[in-house]
Amino acid sequence: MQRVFIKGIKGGLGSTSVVANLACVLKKSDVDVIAIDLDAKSDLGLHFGLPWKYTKGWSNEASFEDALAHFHQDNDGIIFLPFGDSDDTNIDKITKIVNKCKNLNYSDEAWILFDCPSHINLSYYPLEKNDIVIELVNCDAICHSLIYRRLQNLKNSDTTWKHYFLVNRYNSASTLEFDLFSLWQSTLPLMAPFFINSDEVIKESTAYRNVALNCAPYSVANDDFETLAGWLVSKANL
Amino acid sequence: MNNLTSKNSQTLTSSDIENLALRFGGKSDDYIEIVNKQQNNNTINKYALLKEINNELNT
Repeated sequence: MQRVFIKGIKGGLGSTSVVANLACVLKKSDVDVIAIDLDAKSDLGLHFGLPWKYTKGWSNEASFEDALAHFHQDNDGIIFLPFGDSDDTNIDKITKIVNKCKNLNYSDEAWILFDCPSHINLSYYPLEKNDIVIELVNCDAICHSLIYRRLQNLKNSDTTWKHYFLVNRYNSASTLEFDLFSLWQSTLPLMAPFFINSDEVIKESTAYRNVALNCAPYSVANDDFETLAGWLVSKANL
Repeated sequence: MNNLTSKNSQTLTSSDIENLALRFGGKSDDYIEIVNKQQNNNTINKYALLKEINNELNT
Protein backbone atom coordinates (compact mmCIF):
# COMPACT_ATOMS: atom_id res chain seq x y z
CA MET A 1 0.00 0.00 0.00
CA GLN A 2 1.43 3.37 -0.99
CA ARG A 3 0.84 6.09 1.60
CA VAL A 4 0.75 9.71 0.48
CA PHE A 5 0.55 12.54 3.01
CA ILE A 6 -0.67 15.83 1.57
CA LYS A 7 -0.51 19.04 3.58
CA GLY A 8 -0.19 22.75 2.99
CA ILE A 9 3.01 24.43 4.06
CA LYS A 10 0.59 26.98 5.53
CA GLY A 11 -3.18 27.02 5.89
CA GLY A 12 -5.67 27.44 3.07
CA LEU A 13 -3.58 26.05 0.21
CA GLY A 14 -6.22 23.57 -0.94
CA SER A 15 -4.89 20.27 0.37
CA THR A 16 -8.38 18.81 0.76
CA SER A 17 -9.30 19.60 -2.85
CA VAL A 18 -6.01 18.10 -4.02
CA VAL A 19 -6.64 14.89 -2.04
CA ALA A 20 -10.18 14.54 -3.40
CA ASN A 21 -9.27 15.23 -7.04
CA LEU A 22 -6.13 13.10 -6.92
CA ALA A 23 -8.09 10.22 -5.39
CA CYS A 24 -10.58 10.26 -8.27
CA VAL A 25 -7.85 10.34 -10.92
CA LEU A 26 -5.97 7.46 -9.27
CA LYS A 27 -9.21 5.51 -9.03
CA LYS A 28 -9.46 5.62 -12.83
CA SER A 29 -6.64 3.06 -12.86
CA ASP A 30 -9.00 0.67 -11.13
CA VAL A 31 -6.88 0.40 -8.00
CA ASP A 32 -8.15 0.74 -4.46
CA VAL A 33 -7.96 4.33 -3.24
CA ILE A 34 -8.57 5.24 0.38
CA ALA A 35 -8.73 8.86 1.55
CA ILE A 36 -8.38 9.62 5.26
CA ASP A 37 -9.29 13.03 6.66
CA LEU A 38 -6.87 14.03 9.43
CA ASP A 39 -8.00 17.66 9.47
CA ALA A 40 -10.46 18.83 12.12
CA LYS A 41 -12.30 20.88 9.48
CA SER A 42 -13.63 17.48 8.39
CA ASP A 43 -14.62 18.68 4.91
CA LEU A 44 -13.03 15.96 2.75
CA GLY A 45 -16.31 14.03 2.74
CA LEU A 46 -18.13 16.95 1.12
CA HIS A 47 -16.05 16.45 -2.04
CA PHE A 48 -17.18 12.84 -2.15
CA GLY A 49 -20.87 13.58 -1.71
CA LEU A 50 -21.17 12.94 2.03
CA PRO A 51 -24.36 14.60 3.35
CA TRP A 52 -23.63 17.91 5.08
CA LYS A 53 -25.58 16.84 8.17
CA TYR A 54 -23.29 13.84 8.59
CA THR A 55 -20.68 15.13 11.02
CA LYS A 56 -19.34 11.98 12.62
CA GLY A 57 -16.02 10.36 11.88
CA TRP A 58 -13.07 8.52 13.36
CA SER A 59 -12.41 11.20 15.99
CA ASN A 60 -15.77 10.43 17.62
CA GLU A 61 -14.77 6.86 18.37
CA ALA A 62 -12.55 5.47 21.08
CA SER A 63 -11.09 2.66 19.03
CA PHE A 64 -10.17 2.06 15.39
CA GLU A 65 -12.55 -0.88 15.28
CA ASP A 66 -15.43 1.47 16.13
CA ALA A 67 -14.16 4.00 13.58
CA LEU A 68 -14.51 1.40 10.84
CA ALA A 69 -18.24 2.13 10.91
CA HIS A 70 -17.49 5.62 9.52
CA PHE A 71 -15.77 4.45 6.34
CA HIS A 72 -17.83 5.41 3.27
CA GLN A 73 -17.62 4.71 -0.42
CA ASP A 74 -18.45 7.34 -3.04
CA ASN A 75 -20.00 6.78 -6.48
CA ASP A 76 -16.56 6.34 -8.05
CA GLY A 77 -15.62 3.63 -5.56
CA ILE A 78 -13.27 5.71 -3.44
CA ILE A 79 -13.20 4.68 0.20
CA PHE A 80 -13.00 7.64 2.55
CA LEU A 81 -12.99 8.21 6.31
CA PRO A 82 -14.22 11.57 7.64
CA PHE A 83 -12.53 13.21 10.60
CA GLY A 84 -15.70 13.83 12.60
CA ASP A 85 -16.55 16.59 15.03
CA SER A 86 -14.84 15.64 18.28
CA ASP A 87 -13.10 18.52 20.05
CA ASP A 88 -10.94 16.10 21.99
CA THR A 89 -8.44 15.11 19.32
CA ASN A 90 -4.71 15.35 19.79
CA ILE A 91 -1.63 14.33 17.84
CA ASP A 92 -1.49 10.97 19.62
CA LYS A 93 -4.91 10.06 18.24
CA ILE A 94 -3.87 11.15 14.75
CA THR A 95 -0.69 9.06 14.99
CA LYS A 96 -2.75 6.10 16.14
CA ILE A 97 -5.24 6.33 13.26
CA VAL A 98 -2.40 6.65 10.72
CA ASN A 99 -0.77 3.52 12.11
CA LYS A 100 -4.02 1.58 12.33
CA CYS A 101 -4.77 2.32 8.67
CA LYS A 102 -1.81 0.12 7.80
CA ASN A 103 -3.90 -2.82 8.97
CA LEU A 104 -6.67 -2.18 6.46
CA ASN A 105 -7.17 -5.18 4.26
CA TYR A 106 -6.39 -3.80 0.81
CA SER A 107 -4.08 -4.95 -1.94
CA ASP A 108 -0.43 -3.95 -2.13
CA GLU A 109 -1.30 -1.74 -5.13
CA ALA A 110 -3.75 0.35 -3.12
CA TRP A 111 -3.21 4.05 -2.50
CA ILE A 112 -3.98 5.63 0.83
CA LEU A 113 -4.10 9.42 0.85
CA PHE A 114 -4.01 11.42 4.07
CA ASP A 115 -5.39 14.96 4.15
CA CYS A 116 -3.12 16.49 6.80
CA PRO A 117 -3.75 19.77 8.62
CA SER A 118 -1.10 22.39 8.00
CA HIS A 119 -0.60 23.28 11.68
CA ILE A 120 0.71 19.86 12.74
CA ASN A 121 4.41 19.44 12.16
CA LEU A 122 5.45 16.56 9.93
CA SER A 123 7.76 15.22 12.62
CA TYR A 124 4.70 14.12 14.61
CA TYR A 125 3.54 11.74 11.88
CA PRO A 126 4.80 8.14 11.90
CA LEU A 127 6.44 8.51 8.49
CA GLU A 128 8.35 5.63 6.95
CA LYS A 129 10.86 5.19 4.17
CA ASN A 130 8.40 4.52 1.37
CA ASP A 131 5.93 7.23 2.34
CA ILE A 132 5.48 10.18 0.03
CA VAL A 133 4.91 13.60 1.58
CA ILE A 134 3.65 16.41 -0.63
CA GLU A 135 3.74 19.88 0.82
CA LEU A 136 1.59 22.27 -1.16
CA VAL A 137 2.85 25.78 -1.73
CA ASN A 138 1.67 28.87 -3.53
CA CYS A 139 3.99 30.93 -5.67
CA ASP A 140 4.32 33.76 -3.17
CA ALA A 141 7.08 35.21 -1.05
CA ILE A 142 5.80 33.76 2.24
CA CYS A 143 5.91 30.25 0.79
CA HIS A 144 9.41 31.04 -0.51
CA SER A 145 10.42 31.77 3.06
CA LEU A 146 8.63 28.72 4.45
CA ILE A 147 10.19 26.39 1.85
CA TYR A 148 13.70 27.50 2.86
CA ARG A 149 12.88 27.03 6.53
CA ARG A 150 11.51 23.56 5.79
CA LEU A 151 14.62 22.65 3.78
CA GLN A 152 16.79 23.68 6.71
CA ASN A 153 14.68 21.52 9.06
CA LEU A 154 14.88 18.56 6.69
CA LYS A 155 18.62 18.99 6.41
CA ASN A 156 18.97 18.78 10.19
CA SER A 157 16.65 15.81 10.64
CA ASP A 158 16.87 12.16 9.76
CA THR A 159 14.40 12.37 6.92
CA THR A 160 13.76 9.02 5.32
CA TRP A 161 10.50 9.64 3.52
CA LYS A 162 10.14 11.04 0.00
CA HIS A 163 9.42 14.73 0.47
CA TYR A 164 8.29 17.05 -2.33
CA PHE A 165 6.93 20.55 -2.74
CA LEU A 166 4.08 21.06 -5.20
CA VAL A 167 2.80 24.41 -6.42
CA ASN A 168 -0.97 24.59 -6.22
CA ARG A 169 -3.25 27.25 -7.73
CA TYR A 170 -0.59 28.58 -10.09
CA ASN A 171 -1.66 31.78 -11.83
CA SER A 172 0.14 31.93 -15.17
CA ALA A 173 -0.86 35.59 -15.65
CA SER A 174 1.15 36.69 -12.61
CA THR A 175 4.69 37.95 -13.18
CA LEU A 176 5.61 37.26 -9.55
CA GLU A 177 4.40 33.66 -9.75
CA PHE A 178 6.29 33.11 -13.00
CA ASP A 179 9.46 34.56 -11.47
CA LEU A 180 9.18 32.44 -8.35
CA PHE A 181 8.31 29.20 -10.13
CA SER A 182 11.21 29.63 -12.55
CA LEU A 183 13.57 30.35 -9.67
CA TRP A 184 12.36 27.39 -7.61
CA GLN A 185 12.55 24.98 -10.51
CA SER A 186 16.17 25.79 -11.18
CA THR A 187 17.50 26.27 -7.65
CA LEU A 188 15.43 24.25 -5.17
CA PRO A 189 15.66 20.51 -4.60
CA LEU A 190 12.48 18.51 -3.95
CA MET A 191 10.27 20.66 -6.19
CA ALA A 192 7.76 18.73 -8.27
CA PRO A 193 8.52 19.51 -11.94
CA PHE A 194 5.02 20.82 -12.69
CA PHE A 195 2.23 22.75 -11.01
CA ILE A 196 -1.51 22.61 -10.48
CA ASN A 197 -3.05 25.55 -12.31
CA SER A 198 -5.52 27.82 -10.61
CA ASP A 199 -8.81 26.77 -12.15
CA GLU A 200 -12.35 27.83 -11.35
CA VAL A 201 -13.38 24.24 -12.08
CA ILE A 202 -12.07 23.11 -8.70
CA LYS A 203 -14.33 25.51 -6.81
CA GLU A 204 -17.27 24.85 -9.12
CA SER A 205 -17.00 21.08 -8.89
CA THR A 206 -16.86 21.32 -5.10
CA ALA A 207 -20.01 23.45 -5.21
CA TYR A 208 -21.64 20.66 -7.20
CA ARG A 209 -20.50 18.21 -4.48
CA ASN A 210 -18.07 16.56 -6.85
CA VAL A 211 -14.55 16.65 -8.33
CA ALA A 212 -13.04 18.01 -11.56
CA LEU A 213 -12.80 14.59 -13.19
CA ASN A 214 -16.58 14.15 -13.09
CA CYS A 215 -17.64 17.76 -13.68
CA ALA A 216 -15.05 18.92 -16.23
CA PRO A 217 -12.90 16.02 -17.44
CA TYR A 218 -11.25 18.17 -20.14
CA SER A 219 -10.36 21.01 -17.79
CA VAL A 220 -6.85 22.29 -17.22
CA ALA A 221 -7.07 21.33 -13.56
CA ASN A 222 -8.03 17.75 -14.32
CA ASP A 223 -5.10 17.50 -16.75
CA ASP A 224 -2.86 18.71 -13.93
CA PHE A 225 -4.19 16.09 -11.53
CA GLU A 226 -3.61 13.38 -14.12
CA THR A 227 -0.04 14.64 -14.42
CA LEU A 228 0.28 14.53 -10.64
CA ALA A 229 -1.07 10.97 -10.52
CA GLY A 230 1.32 9.78 -13.22
CA TRP A 231 4.26 11.43 -11.51
CA LEU A 232 3.30 9.83 -8.18
CA VAL A 233 3.20 6.42 -9.87
CA SER A 234 6.81 7.02 -10.96
CA LYS A 235 7.75 7.84 -7.34
CA ALA A 236 5.74 5.09 -5.67
CA ASN A 237 7.10 1.88 -4.32
CA LEU A 238 4.35 -0.39 -5.62
CA MET B 1 23.79 13.87 4.15
CA ASN B 2 22.74 15.77 1.09
CA ASN B 3 22.68 19.51 1.26
CA LEU B 4 18.99 20.20 0.88
CA THR B 5 19.18 23.96 0.88
CA SER B 6 20.73 24.22 -2.56
CA LYS B 7 21.54 22.15 -5.57
CA ASN B 8 25.17 21.31 -6.02
CA SER B 9 25.36 21.77 -9.74
CA GLN B 10 24.30 24.61 -11.98
CA THR B 11 23.48 22.09 -14.65
CA LEU B 12 20.29 20.20 -13.98
CA THR B 13 19.83 16.61 -14.96
CA SER B 14 16.36 15.52 -14.05
CA SER B 15 16.22 12.55 -11.72
CA ASP B 16 12.50 12.45 -12.44
CA ILE B 17 13.15 11.77 -16.09
CA GLU B 18 15.71 9.17 -15.05
CA ASN B 19 13.19 7.37 -12.85
CA LEU B 20 10.59 7.39 -15.59
CA ALA B 21 13.16 6.00 -18.01
CA LEU B 22 13.99 3.20 -15.58
CA ARG B 23 10.34 2.35 -15.28
CA PHE B 24 9.16 2.72 -18.84
CA GLY B 25 12.36 2.55 -20.87
CA GLY B 26 13.92 5.17 -23.08
CA LYS B 27 16.94 7.40 -22.77
CA SER B 28 17.31 9.59 -19.73
CA ASP B 29 20.78 10.98 -20.21
CA ASP B 30 19.97 13.42 -23.00
CA TYR B 31 17.79 15.66 -20.86
CA ILE B 32 20.00 18.54 -19.82
CA GLU B 33 18.67 21.90 -18.85
CA ILE B 34 20.97 24.88 -18.59
CA VAL B 35 20.05 27.15 -15.73
CA ASN B 36 19.76 30.80 -16.52
CA LYS B 37 21.80 32.08 -13.59
CA GLN B 38 21.40 35.68 -14.64
CA GLN B 39 17.60 35.37 -14.68
CA ASN B 40 17.65 33.84 -11.19
CA ASN B 41 19.86 36.63 -9.88
CA ASN B 42 17.53 39.20 -11.41
CA THR B 43 14.54 37.61 -9.69
CA ILE B 44 16.29 37.50 -6.32
CA ASN B 45 17.43 41.11 -6.59
CA LYS B 46 14.01 42.25 -7.77
CA TYR B 47 12.17 41.26 -4.57
CA ALA B 48 13.41 42.47 -1.18
CA LEU B 49 12.33 39.44 0.84
CA LEU B 50 13.96 37.00 -1.58
CA LYS B 51 17.13 39.07 -1.48
CA GLU B 52 17.18 39.06 2.31
CA ILE B 53 16.67 35.27 2.49
CA ASN B 54 19.36 34.73 -0.14
CA ASN B 55 21.79 36.93 1.76
CA GLU B 56 21.10 35.10 5.04
CA LEU B 57 21.65 31.72 3.42
CA ASN B 58 24.92 32.81 1.88
CA THR B 59 26.49 34.31 5.00
